[in-house]
Amino acid sequence: MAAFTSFDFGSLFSVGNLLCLFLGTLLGMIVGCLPGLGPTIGVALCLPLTFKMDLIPSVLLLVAIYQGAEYGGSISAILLGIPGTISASATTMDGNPLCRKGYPGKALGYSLTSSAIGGLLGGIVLLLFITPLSRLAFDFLDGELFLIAMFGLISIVTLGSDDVPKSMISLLLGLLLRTMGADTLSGVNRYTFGVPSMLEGLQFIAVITGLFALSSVFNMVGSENLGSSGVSDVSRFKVHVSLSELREILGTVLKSSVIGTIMGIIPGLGPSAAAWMSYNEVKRAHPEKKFGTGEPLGISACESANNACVGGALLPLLSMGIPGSGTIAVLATAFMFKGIQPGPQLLTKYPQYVYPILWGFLIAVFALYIVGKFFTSLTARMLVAPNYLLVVIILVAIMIGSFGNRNNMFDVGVAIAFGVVGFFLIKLKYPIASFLMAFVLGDIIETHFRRALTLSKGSWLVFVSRPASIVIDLMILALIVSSVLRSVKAKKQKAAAAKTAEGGADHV
Amino acid sequence: MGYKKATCIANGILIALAIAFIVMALNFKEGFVKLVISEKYYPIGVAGLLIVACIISTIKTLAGDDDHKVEIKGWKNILLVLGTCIVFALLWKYVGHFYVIAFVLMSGLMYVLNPEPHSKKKVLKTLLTNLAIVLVIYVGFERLLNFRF
Repeated sequence: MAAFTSFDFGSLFSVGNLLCLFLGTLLGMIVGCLPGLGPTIGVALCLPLTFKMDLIPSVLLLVAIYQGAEYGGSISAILLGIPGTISASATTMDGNPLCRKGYPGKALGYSLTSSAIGGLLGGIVLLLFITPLSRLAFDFLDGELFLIAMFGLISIVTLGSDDVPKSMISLLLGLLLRTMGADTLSGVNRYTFGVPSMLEGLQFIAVITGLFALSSVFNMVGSENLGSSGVSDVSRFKVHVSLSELREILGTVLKSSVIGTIMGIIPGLGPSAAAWMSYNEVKRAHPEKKFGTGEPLGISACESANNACVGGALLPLLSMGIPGSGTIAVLATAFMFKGIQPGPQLLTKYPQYVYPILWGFLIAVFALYIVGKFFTSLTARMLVAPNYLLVVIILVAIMIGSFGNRNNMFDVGVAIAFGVVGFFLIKLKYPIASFLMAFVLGDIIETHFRRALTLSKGSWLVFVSRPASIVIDLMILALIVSSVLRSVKAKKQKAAAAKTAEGGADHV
Repeated sequence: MGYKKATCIANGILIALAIAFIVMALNFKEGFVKLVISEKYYPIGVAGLLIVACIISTIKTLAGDDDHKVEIKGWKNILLVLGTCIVFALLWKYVGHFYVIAFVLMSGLMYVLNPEPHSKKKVLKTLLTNLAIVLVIYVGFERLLNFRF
């Protein structure tokens, strides 16, 4: 507990850190509110800003962007009925109707307040559970660490996608491409093709910016109206919720925050699933309310859940090295740039970084509330920015981002190539979040796997020989079995629906 | 092109890629450190699983109902953006002068993508916007963050 509080709190409130928190929140709100961008692209595009920064402000900046983007997604969902992020799609259900009734400021007020409370609860859970989880994981040997990483990947495949084989392909492709470069255990060059720039393998930033940002640019110029974003007027409004209104939503906000935090901890689920699950739960709990017509509880449930997810998703990363979501996987690279591998060792080796980041996370929530309160109206004006302008800004950011990590033009080429690959992967519904998670975790998976087998002299029993590994094995088995059962149930439901439709047609 | 056909082609390409990775892995030079699981077995295993997953995905896709048309809307704009990126990278590598290249290419791209009809105002707006972008990069990245382009 001592380390928990025994650091220089004053340093956390340095001008640099506070600037990162407030600027990150504003940037996050902007990328979140622009449909087609979102938190992952926002964090990826801002990674280059962190190259020359210390770890703490870097992570605070990226966390603030993530938090800000989760709230920002609700701005366009409420004002336009077009969710800025996937997770804000549930917010559209009640947010947009309330706006159309003439209460945009009220709808955004519910969203902001719920986002802030959700973020705060997620942060508190992160703060409380990081130490016990890290201690638990600290005793893990290579075999268990490999299994934990596999659990994360299998969660992504089974829970994060409807098409399991395609998700599996994305994942394996990520693992395979991560093997490029000099082997960390033997030093042998693998798939380097004699290119010196390939000795360190494919660079995260180049792959991420290409895969997410450039592919989204291709989608933008290909399918959207380039001249304008379809908005000509974003009226002035005051983001405000009164105390009595807050009291009415508080119970739902707290319940949804718990759901969001849990969904964030489980890799593969993420904010979108959390928002929809909370929305369904609040509908079930309040059958008397007319959801879909501008019900504040509907907005609050979704927004508190998706922001609570952020803290939840950071927990497995900081304690076990497993990113809870695609955005957190991108955020993890900020640690790797500084030569730090997130995981059980983080808390013991680098407490000077971990605790300020955790407390900074809580400050980020307050920053979200303050920035959201005063800048939502301004952020909403970004919705009138034409897409051709966004395309140019994003392209320049991609060029700088991919080059800036090690001043290497080869990485710019890699980003362009991955932009094309990402575009086709998305078109053909290969989930790129699976690829990203595998690419980030690939190195530690291979290292732990090979080290475990080397230490056990080739015996595969190393993966089932200790109580901890047996528990993780059972968790993996449960995931696979539940996925199979879900798939069988879905097939049965589909067949029954088809039969009913057929019967109806015959009857007609 | 139909979704089924496109998926089959994509899976075929991935299978070819996996086979290439396996063949290359078999020809890795031996390392000085002898490990129980050498540097070649892990990529071979992953590539093998990738082939299996591609086959399963192909069968599942062919057996499924979904065969919507996979369209690449606005492919001319996509090629334009891709071409600009490639020219940007090549000019930057072989000519240098990042700011000049960024200003010229991005102005050109923005002008073409802007659907407004040609006018002096449009040209001026494009040039001023890109000048502002380049200035922000210079101040933000080069002066404040010590980037060197």
